[in-house]
Amino acid sequence: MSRYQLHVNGRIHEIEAEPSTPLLQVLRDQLDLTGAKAGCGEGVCGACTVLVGGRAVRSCITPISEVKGRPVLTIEGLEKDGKLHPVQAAFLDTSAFQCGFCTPGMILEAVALLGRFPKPSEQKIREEMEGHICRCGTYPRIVEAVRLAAKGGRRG
Amino acid sequence: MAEPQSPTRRELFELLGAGVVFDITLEAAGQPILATRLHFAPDGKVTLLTGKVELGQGSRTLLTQCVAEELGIQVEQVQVVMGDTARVPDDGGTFASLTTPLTVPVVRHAAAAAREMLKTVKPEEAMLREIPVKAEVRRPQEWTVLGTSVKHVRGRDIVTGRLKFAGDLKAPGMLIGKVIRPEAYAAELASFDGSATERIPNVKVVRAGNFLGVAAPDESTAERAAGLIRAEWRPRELIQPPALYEHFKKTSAPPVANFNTRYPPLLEEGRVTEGLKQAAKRHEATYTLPSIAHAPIEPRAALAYWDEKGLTVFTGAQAPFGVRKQLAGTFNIPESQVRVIAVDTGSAFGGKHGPEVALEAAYLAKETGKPVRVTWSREEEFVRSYCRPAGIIEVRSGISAEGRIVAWDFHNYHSGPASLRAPYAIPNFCCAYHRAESPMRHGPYRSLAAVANTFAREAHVDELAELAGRDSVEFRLQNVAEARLREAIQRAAERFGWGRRRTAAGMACNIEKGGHMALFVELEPKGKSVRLLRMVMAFDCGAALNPDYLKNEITGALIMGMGGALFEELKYDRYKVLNGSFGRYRVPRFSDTPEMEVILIDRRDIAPAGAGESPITVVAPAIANALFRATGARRRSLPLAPDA
Repeated sequence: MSRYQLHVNGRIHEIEAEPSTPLLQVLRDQLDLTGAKAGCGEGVCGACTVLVGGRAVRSCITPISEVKGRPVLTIEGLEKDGKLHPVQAAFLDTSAFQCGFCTPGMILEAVALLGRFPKPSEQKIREEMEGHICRCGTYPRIVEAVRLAAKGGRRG
Repeated sequence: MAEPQSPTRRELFELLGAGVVFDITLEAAGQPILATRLHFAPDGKVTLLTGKVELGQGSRTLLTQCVAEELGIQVEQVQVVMGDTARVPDDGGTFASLTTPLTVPVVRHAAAAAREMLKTVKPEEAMLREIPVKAEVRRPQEWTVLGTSVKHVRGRDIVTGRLKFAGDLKAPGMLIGKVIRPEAYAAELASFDGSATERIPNVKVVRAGNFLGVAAPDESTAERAAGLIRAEWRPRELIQPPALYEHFKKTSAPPVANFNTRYPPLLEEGRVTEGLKQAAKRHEATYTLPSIAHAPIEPRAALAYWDEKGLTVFTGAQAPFGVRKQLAGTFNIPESQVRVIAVDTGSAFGGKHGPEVALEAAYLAKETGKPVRVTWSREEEFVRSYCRPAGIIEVRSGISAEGRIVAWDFHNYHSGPASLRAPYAIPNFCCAYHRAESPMRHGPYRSLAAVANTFAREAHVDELAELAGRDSVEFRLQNVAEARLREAIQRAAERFGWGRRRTAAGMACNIEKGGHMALFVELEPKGKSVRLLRMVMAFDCGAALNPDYLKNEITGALIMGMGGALFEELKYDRYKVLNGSFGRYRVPRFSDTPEMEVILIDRRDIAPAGAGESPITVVAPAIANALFRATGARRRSLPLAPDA
C-alpha cells in the first residue's frame, strides 16, 4: 500500500492504495464519486472517462500512481454553484442520452475536446468521440449537443 | 401462485409520508388487481406507484406525463416509484413494448378516477374507499402534457452523474462479491480448492451447486481471492454455425397451432402447396443469423442483504416480480420475504430479464451475513448472460404473372415466432416457427425474433421484386393492403428520393407490435466493409405521446440494428467464447452512424403502440437489399460485413 494525495474537483484527498489500483476504483470506492462508470475495463468504451490535468483519460486503465498530483475533474465537479457547465446544459437541451450510463464520460470527453478545438467540425467531433460507446444509439444527438455547446448554447 | 404482497397502508405512509392514497381496481398484466396507485402528499406532490421500470426507454417520463395530464398538474409535481416489489403493483415485466399499450391506459384511468373523486369527496374520506373507475381520460385534442416532448425527468441527474445505478449503490459493511467462472461457456463444477483464498482475512468462499463465489471487503481483495481458487470444471461442447443451423433443423419439432399466445407459432391460410404449383414464377432461399450479445452499456449488478424481514435486492432488472419469484424459489422462502428493488438500469434490450446477478449477490450475502454487491465484468456480461437466438429460415414463394405474391411458405427454426405474419395480402401462406434445441443460452432480445423473421421476409420480398422485374417500392405497394403501411412506405420513399436514387439504395417495411414502418437506406461498399450514408425512416405507432423521446428511441433502435446487420456475432470455438469484450466484439460507434431522418406519422386518434423495439426489425433487410443493388451479390447470412 502507498499513500497518495489526490486533487479531485478542487479538493485534496489523502488515500491509500496499491500503485496499480485504477483511478476509477479509487474514485468510486474510496471517494464515492460514482459518476465515472466501469463499462469495459480495458479503456475502449469511454464510460470511465475523467479529466486529469485537463486531458480526458480512461480512468479504468489509469493506475493511481500515474496521476501524480495532477488535478482530477469528474462529472460531479463540473456543475458550479448549481449552474450546469455549457456541455451539460447542451446534453440536456438536446436530450442526448437515454439510459444515461455513458453520459458522464461523453460529457467529459466533449469538455476536453472543446478545450482543444473550440469550433470543431462535425467530422472532428465524431473522430474525437469515437472511443465512446452509447448502446442506446444516441450518437447523432451527442454530436448535436457538442455543436450546440461550441456555439455557446445558441441554436441556429 | 403466491398471493402478491401489497404493502399495508401504514407501511406506505412510512415510505411516502402523510397524505392520501388511492386504491384502484384495474387490469394490469392481464389481471384485475386492486392496487395502490397514487399517493397525494399535503404539499401537492403526487406519487405514482408502478411495477414498470426505467431502462433508458423513457417509461418514467412517459408515466409522469400520464399522471400530470389527467390530474392537470405540473410534471415537476409528479414522482414515480418504479419496480420496488414492496411498494408497487405488479404491472408485468418491462418488455415486449407493453408499457405504452397496457400500463399507460391503466395509469391514465387511475389518475382520472382520482381527479373525479377529489372533486366531490374530501381527501380523508377518499382514503376509506375503493375508487370505482368510471372517469373519462382526457381526449387527445385536450392534451397539454401528453403528445408533447417532455424531457427525461431524470435528465439533470444524468448529466451531473447523480443518477445511481445498481453498481453505484453501497450499504454499511458491504462486501464485494466475485463469481468464479469456468473458461468454458457451459460447464459443471466438479471440484475446487479454496484453501489459499480462505487464508486471506475477512474473505469467504461460498459454493451452492454450480455457483462458486467469494466475498471480500473490497474490489482488489475480492479479485485476488477469486484468482487463488482452483476449480475443476466439466465443460460441455458447443456447436458453431453453420453446423448449428443444421442442429436446429435436426432437433426441431413441427409447430402446433395455438392462438392463445401473443405470438402464435403457426399461421396458415389458403393452400400453400397449390399456390406454389400455380404460381407463374417460384423462388426459394435460406437465411441465417448467428447469436449476438445485448451488450448493455451497464454490466448488470446487484446489492443484496438479509435481515429479519428476509432478503432485499437492489438490481437493474426488467422483471422485478419475476426476479422476486425466482429468488423466493431458490431460497425456499415465501415471496413476501423477498423485496426486489429495480433501480433505473443502464440499458437492457431484453437482456436483463433473469435473476442471475441477484442470485449471486443473495447467495454471498446469506453466507456472510453482510450486504454483498456483485457487478459483472464486461467479459461476464458477454459470456455469462443469454444471447439473441441464432436461427435459420427457409422460404419458398411464388408470384403471379401480374407480380402478386400468391404463395408464401415460411419456416423459422429456433429464432422464435414474433413477426411471423407477413404484412402482405397473400392468398396462400404457411408461416411456422419450429422450436429447436440450442447449446447456447438464448433469450429475449429487442423485438424478439421479429429481427430474424423480418430480415428473411423483407430480403426475400426484394428478391421476388427482382424476379418480377419490378421496383422494390412498386412491388411492395402492389402487395400491401394496409393503408397505414402504404402511407409509411410512400412518405419515406418520397423523402428519401427513391425514384431518383442511384444503385446503392434499398428499403424494407414491416408491421410489428402495432408499429407501421418503412426504412430506406443508402450505402457505399468499401472493400469488405460497408459505409452507411443515409437512413430515412417513416414510423407510425398511433399517437406519439412524447414525439422527441419517440424519435430518440427510433434512431437508437436503427443504430443498434446496424450492428447486428453488419458485424455483430458472438464467436466461439468448441468450448469457449472468443470475442467477449468491446475490444473484440464490434458494436456501432459514432463513425458508423449515417445521416438519419425520422418521419413520425402521428395519429392522435389511434391508441399508441409501444415503439422502443420494432424499428430495429427493418434495419438488416434494408441494408441487405441496398447491398444487393450495390454489388449484385445477394447475401443471406447475417452479419453482412463480418470483417468490417
